[in-house]
Amino acid sequence: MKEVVGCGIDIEEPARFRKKIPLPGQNTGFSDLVYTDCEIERNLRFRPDLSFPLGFSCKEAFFKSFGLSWTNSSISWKDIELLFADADDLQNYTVRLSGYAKEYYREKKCRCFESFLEYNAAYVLFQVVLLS
Amino acid sequence: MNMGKITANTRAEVKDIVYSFFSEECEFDLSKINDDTNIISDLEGDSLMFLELIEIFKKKYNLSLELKTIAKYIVRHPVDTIGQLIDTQMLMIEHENNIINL
Repeated sequence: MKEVVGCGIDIEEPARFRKKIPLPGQNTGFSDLVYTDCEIERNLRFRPDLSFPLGFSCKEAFFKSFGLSWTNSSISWKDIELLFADADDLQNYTVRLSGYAKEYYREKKCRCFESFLEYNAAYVLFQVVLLS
Repeated sequence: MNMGKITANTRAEVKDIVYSFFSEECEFDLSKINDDTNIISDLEGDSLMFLELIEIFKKKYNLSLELKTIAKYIVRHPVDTIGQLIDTQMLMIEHENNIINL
């Protein structure tokens, strides 16, 4: 039987990200701090107005599920990636953990996670439940 | 150390940027912000604002700063108030990634 190891939820306003969306080939300082090159490349193809805030929301949700933040752990924003596969369906995504996020996930004996995202023009939301 | 980036006006500049930033982002009366204002409980500041500020200062002062370095410093020297944020920012401008060695 799966046990819940942690859970996290985050909500963001897409309007706050409008000025942070990089132009192709020219990353903003903010995008460089938070997103990997792979995320930036895909987000620019797949609804950047939503994919960038959803990516940030995903990262925050995972931090919360770990009970940590980027200021009190070695986990980097870039250790958690939300990768979209389809511009027409933002529900078609994968989450990739690497670095210290992956290490911490294993230390917590997580076997899998369940996630959920939702969005409208005003808000995006990402939720994750870590399971052992 | 980057003493070349620090002038007599730097602290006043940093303070002005920080006060204005939070006043605008948090829709908070600028005249009510002071160095003792708590970023989270008074202004409802969040990670996104903090990252935006880092970006602003990196650009303005052409700083070589890694997020992990900032994070490691903040773990040892928590930033709760506007005044503490200004002090930390001054150290970042002065020392950049060497802030971790303070």
